[in-house]
Amino acid sequence: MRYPALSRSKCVELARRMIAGESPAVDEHREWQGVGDEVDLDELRHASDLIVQEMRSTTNDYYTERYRVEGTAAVLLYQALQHIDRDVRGDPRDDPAFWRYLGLAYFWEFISWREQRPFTAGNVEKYVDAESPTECVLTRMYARGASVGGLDYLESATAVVGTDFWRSHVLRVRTGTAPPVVRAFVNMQATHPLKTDDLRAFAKALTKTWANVVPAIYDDDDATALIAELRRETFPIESG
Amino acid sequence: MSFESRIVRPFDITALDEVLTSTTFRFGNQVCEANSGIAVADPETFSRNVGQIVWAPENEFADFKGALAQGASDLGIELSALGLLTVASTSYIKRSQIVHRCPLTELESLDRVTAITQGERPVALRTGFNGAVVEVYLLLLQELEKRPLRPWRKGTWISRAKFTIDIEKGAVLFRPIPLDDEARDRLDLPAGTVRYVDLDDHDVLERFEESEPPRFYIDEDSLRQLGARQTSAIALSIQAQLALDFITAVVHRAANETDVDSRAWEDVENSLIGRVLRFVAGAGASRDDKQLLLKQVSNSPDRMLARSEHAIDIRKRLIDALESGS
Repeated sequence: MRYPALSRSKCVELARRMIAGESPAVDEHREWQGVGDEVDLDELRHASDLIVQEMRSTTNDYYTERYRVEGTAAVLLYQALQHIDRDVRGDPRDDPAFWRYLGLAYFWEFISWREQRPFTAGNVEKYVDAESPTECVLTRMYARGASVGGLDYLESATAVVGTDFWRSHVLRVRTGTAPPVVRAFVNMQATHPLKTDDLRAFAKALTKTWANVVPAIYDDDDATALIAELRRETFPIESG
Repeated sequence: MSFESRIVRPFDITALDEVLTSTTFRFGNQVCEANSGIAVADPETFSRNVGQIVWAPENEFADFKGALAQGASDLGIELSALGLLTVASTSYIKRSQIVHRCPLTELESLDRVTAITQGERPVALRTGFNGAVVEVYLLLLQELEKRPLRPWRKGTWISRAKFTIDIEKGAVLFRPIPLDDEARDRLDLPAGTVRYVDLDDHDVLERFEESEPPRFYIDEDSLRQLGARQTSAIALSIQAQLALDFITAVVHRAANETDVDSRAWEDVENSLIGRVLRFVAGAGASRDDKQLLLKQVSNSPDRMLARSEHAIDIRKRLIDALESGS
């Protein structure tokens, strides 16, 4: 399977031109990776259309809506990428150059809406270059879908809306590698939410657990029990 | 000077904590020792190589099984509560997958070599661009009664061996970013700045994938010129110097961390300073070599940087550049 890719330097150059209001032809700069048939990106185009539709339909405060729309977009993106298969060179989803191309060629309208504040300040690279999977908009959205366990569990990916919850307390730490634990954590925060400082303290206690415990072995029941126990330990007054 | 460092566990588990030190990971024709790393040449090789856990050398395998059973008995833990678990992970797309599980009650049936790439290949070993980590654990398969200084929580590991597989093209220390006027303004740098390592709040001692990667800005015109003649002697010399500049920034940041002198190599091996130390120590360096370098970061960073010059071969590149210009 051949898939389109974009070098980092070209991605940053094009993104800056697009922020400046130009409309460069991204496809003129793509490079093809892999062998065989060209990957079918129709579902991604459809997902992008739906995301833009969702984005344009927002009427509430942008600073609240950007979180909610990112959750919806994460689900649509994850679903649209399911048909993409690995080939002899590996999985395109593991290749930053693939994400760079998708970001500029398919999802630019959403990304530039979502990150309008840093873009206005001239800070663009980390949101599109895919070097850091927890910062780049598309990779962090895909990772969000993967962290909850994929297609069968995507409702968990939208149950908590704050991007910082996902980035700081799930994706950047080992918690994010264990879907049952992520689901239990999300369920706790969705049903009995902690405020920012308490959430940080709880997430820290959870992350600290992984110094001695292997999260991969936890199933849903184990994870639910662990989360409940840590909550009691972290906030004994709340429990008592 | 001699010293010893070890990971401090909150349990008394000495009967078993080193039981996996002779376990190795065979990947293609390479052998990765416990708690070390190997690099494969390219994504194709990575996604095709056969991966096997070799639990112990042939003449030690019976002793390995015996040590597991005896150690469990010494700790007063039922065999049914303990097991061997192998997990394959890849950090970029955040996948972690159990690829082999053997309760100690089934130890008799454990073969000396366990293939983990037969059948459906683990996701982490077919991604191909950012490498993988394979970890083998002896751990608690179930929760035990809580007792002081005893492991009790399900999943608590008693012993572990970690194998890191890098793709050579993915194991670069840094990727240069063009420093243009806009970046200078944003970073509040004067017009004549040629290079700037932006470590921001990157924690150079913590796992690399959990921190924002550092950015190494290089003047865009200079970068363009370097790219146009990247194999010339002068360009190679400048590239070597830039590598040293990056290493210097990372070493100084690490040296300023208050607890760097208390860290063991295992604590930092997946951090940015870990990558730098691995590069400076060179292929085949022992764990003790890397621990010694880590110590130097704390107590003699300039000496550590002098060794970095050797690792980069900066002397030869400088002489080549001077000779090419004469």
